[in-house]
Amino acid sequence: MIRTEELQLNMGPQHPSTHGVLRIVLRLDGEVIVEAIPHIGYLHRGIEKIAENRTYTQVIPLTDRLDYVSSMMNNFAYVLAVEELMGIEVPERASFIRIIMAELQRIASHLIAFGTGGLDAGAMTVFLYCFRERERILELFEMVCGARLTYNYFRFGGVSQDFPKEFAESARNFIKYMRPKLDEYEDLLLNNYIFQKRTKGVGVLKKKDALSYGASGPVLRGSGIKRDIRKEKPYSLYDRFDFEIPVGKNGDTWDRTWVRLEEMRQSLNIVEQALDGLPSGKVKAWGVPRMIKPPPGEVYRPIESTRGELGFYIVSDGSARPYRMKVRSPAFSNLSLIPVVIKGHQIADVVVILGSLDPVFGEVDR
Amino acid sequence: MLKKFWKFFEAFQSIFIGMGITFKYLTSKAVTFQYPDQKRPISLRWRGLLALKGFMGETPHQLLRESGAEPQTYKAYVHKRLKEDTLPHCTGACPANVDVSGQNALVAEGKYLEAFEIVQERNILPGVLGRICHHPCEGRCRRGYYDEPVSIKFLHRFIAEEARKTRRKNNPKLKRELKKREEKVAIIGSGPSGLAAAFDLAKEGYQVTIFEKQKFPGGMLAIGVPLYRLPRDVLLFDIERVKGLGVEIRTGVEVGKDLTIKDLKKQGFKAILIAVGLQVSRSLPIPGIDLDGVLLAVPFLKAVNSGEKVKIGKDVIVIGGGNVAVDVARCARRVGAEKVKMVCLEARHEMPAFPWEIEESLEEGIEIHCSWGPKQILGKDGRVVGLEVKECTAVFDAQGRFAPTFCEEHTKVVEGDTVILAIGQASDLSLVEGTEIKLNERRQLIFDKVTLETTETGVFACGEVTTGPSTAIGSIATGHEAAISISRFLRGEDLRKGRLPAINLEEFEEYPQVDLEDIEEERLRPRPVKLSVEERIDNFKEIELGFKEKVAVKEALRCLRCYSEKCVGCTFCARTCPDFCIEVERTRDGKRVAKYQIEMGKCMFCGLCSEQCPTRSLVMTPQHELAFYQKELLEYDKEKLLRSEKGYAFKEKEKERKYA
Repeated sequence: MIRTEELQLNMGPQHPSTHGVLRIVLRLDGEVIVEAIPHIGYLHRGIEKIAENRTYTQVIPLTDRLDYVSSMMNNFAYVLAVEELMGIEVPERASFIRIIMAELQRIASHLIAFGTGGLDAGAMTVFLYCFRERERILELFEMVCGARLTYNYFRFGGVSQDFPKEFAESARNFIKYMRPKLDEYEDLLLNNYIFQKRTKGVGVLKKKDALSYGASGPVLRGSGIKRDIRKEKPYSLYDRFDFEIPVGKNGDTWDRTWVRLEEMRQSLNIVEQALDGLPSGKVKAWGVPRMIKPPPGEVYRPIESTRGELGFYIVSDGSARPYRMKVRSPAFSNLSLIPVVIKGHQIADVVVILGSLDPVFGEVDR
Repeated sequence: MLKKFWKFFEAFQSIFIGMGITFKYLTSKAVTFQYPDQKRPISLRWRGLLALKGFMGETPHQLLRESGAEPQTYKAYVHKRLKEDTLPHCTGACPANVDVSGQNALVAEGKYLEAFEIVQERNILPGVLGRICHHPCEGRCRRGYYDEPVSIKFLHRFIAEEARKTRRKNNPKLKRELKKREEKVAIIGSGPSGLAAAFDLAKEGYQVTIFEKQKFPGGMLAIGVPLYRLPRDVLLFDIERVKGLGVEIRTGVEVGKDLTIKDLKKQGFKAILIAVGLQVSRSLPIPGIDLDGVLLAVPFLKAVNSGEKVKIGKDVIVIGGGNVAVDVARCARRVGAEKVKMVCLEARHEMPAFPWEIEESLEEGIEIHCSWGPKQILGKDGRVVGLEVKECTAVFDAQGRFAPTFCEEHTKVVEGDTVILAIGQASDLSLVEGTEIKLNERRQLIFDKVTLETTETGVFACGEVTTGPSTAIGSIATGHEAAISISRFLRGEDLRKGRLPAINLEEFEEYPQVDLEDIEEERLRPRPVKLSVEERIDNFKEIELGFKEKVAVKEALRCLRCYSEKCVGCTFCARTCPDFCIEVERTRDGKRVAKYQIEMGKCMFCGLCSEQCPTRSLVMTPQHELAFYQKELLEYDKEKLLRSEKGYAFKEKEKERKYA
């Protein structure tokens, strides 16, 4: 008679495939996972608390450091929330620029998720290709705002500076270049037999679980729920653009990866439409005071970030600093699905499933 | 057979697909990533190290005047700066493009007379404009974005007072350099525009003669501006300086009556400039207009300003909502009227008078009846007893043109025994009769918009004759333009070549009011001392008093010297930095920057500081490699930062520490 015993295994916080500093305590029965408990907090900086001691403008560079893979999105959500509180109207050109930047950011961020997702399953090539393409987007960003990662580009009432002359042409070239590449990556990764074997039917997230855990973004849509804030509660000028929401069927890892690829295609469409219809005019609303003092009140403004519903809840007491700022970060909610999704799978699948949830720990811990 | 093949295919499906992809790539071009041989250029907007370009007082101030004092080159220089987006907003917003930042820099250093000379080059009457200007510059002052705009108007006034104290009639250097030219120029009218043109032409050496209808020079400034806003000795001193350049002013000569334009040409005047302005008050075609007790604004103001006795009743009604109407109402209050009522078509916020004027007149107890139009003047035994008014529903039509609509049923009666009409002015152009100068059907001059030449060669026009109702500084600007045209005409050059239009005021938007609650008191602008209502109501004493020397220097130091690329130590970068890594200090007297320190170890390259630097002296350079590999360069060399002035204790201490 062989005596079996459950084994407790610590994965992380220093582990190359946890996409940051995540520690998962796994209880194993042989190769099979009985229980998985995520432990977070290794990257906690107290940004929400720091924000209470900064003026509203000084908080913008702080939001860059939340989800550092898609900083533009954080800028966007924060700026929208304060604008709603202040009642500032944004010029049309500034809104278009914001949408172009946000969608390019979505592509850049999904490229990382897609590439590292492949890497987690052992597909090295796609990972390198994706980072090569992302580099082109970063060059576009650098051209516009001078930074490659922490952009600090959005301002209340617009953006900090207009596009340089060469931007429109470079962006068009990028779209032209990117479209066939996406088809190629679909061939390389999603249609790959090995990758399909590793991901199809692995990490199935049921609709019911996805809803009850508050999942959002590609994780939710991969489970077959058609929900996108850009369509449901359009912010900025998203109601003017024509795009579709891809939805998965089974809710497994493959579906989530596919949704991301399809979203990149839709984002390219949005960027192209925005470039075509880019109006002329100012990029910053006139009359926004230097010292922002919103009237007392509160606001919650969610946007569809790369990872899902990103919302800023801001309470103002009428002074120059926010009384309270709370970030509803999608990665945190999505990460809480780990115990549900991983349970019952083999230990080799943990990395693949985790990669498909695409957490960024700057945002989880804040 | 087919089934067998299919089974075989299914088993090795992925291998075949993979082989297909492999062959596709073999036949297509190689897709390996090409690393560039050369280093790739970095974007100009790259946010690297912070760098400061210069410090206040380190080198002489970059003044707009560097272009030279010639009106033509100056304007070209201003347009060049505008194109580069480095034109200070105050200079751009001023119709005459006065070099305000240059003035402020020199006042801050105590060089008042030099500042005066800079200002008078573009604004020939600094003392006058320092009192009556409507200062479009102050609304656009960049300081107004941070707290409150610099008191540019009062600094003009201050330097004019300083010049008056020293009795400096003219720049001696300027007079020494004067060339003599034979050509004679006649200017009709000695208002601001005529004086400005005369000044420019006299500087070039032409023999200028000004013909003035009235017994005293100054045009509308002498007739129309009340004494409580502009004491006459100030005006006369400013005019004296024009005379000092050799300009002859012949008062009491009315061209058109005593002399004609033909006579002037016979007397040898090569060019003639019409600068007569608008000096005939318009009347209204309503019943009762010829009753006893109905007056016009310009004759009334002229009588009041020249100290004549004016017969008005105790209860005065002023029709009109412009600045002249306000002047009339306030003068009437001072001449003896107990009650003054203004009736105007416009609603309160639409009134063309400047808001501060309206405010002051309300303080003096003047009633304003807004949105009412005159219907008829009521009379009894030939005397005025009141004014019947009807409601005005809209003043402007959809295109924004003046086309008032009235509600005839809704009327009321305003009681009063005198009615003064201040509804606008027209020009008296009877002097053009018998010449080739043509007027249009509305009896306005026909002239070229660029060169200001009329239909007769050698005759030019400037001032309100060309612009319509305008301001003193606007008239001065057209005077300068006309002077360029005349000097080109006399030299036989092309009038049009390289002429630039006036800068559109909409290029620079007015900054909204800032919430001044949290701002320290020393950062705010000083408030001028004003006479109280009781002190000023029954006399013509000047209402606002000017700055004292100490206040003026402090105020000039508040100027941010926009786009000068020299740090003025305004500390706005330090206030913006989210990481508090910038430290800026001025010396105690505020005249130079004592300390500027950036802790690059703390900096997170957000760029907020350089974005809001008003002088553009703090920039983010594309030197990213320095930031990574040469740590010793991260800290600024303090010796470089400090001004290389002798006897600086701070600098000496640093040295000691180094060698200790």
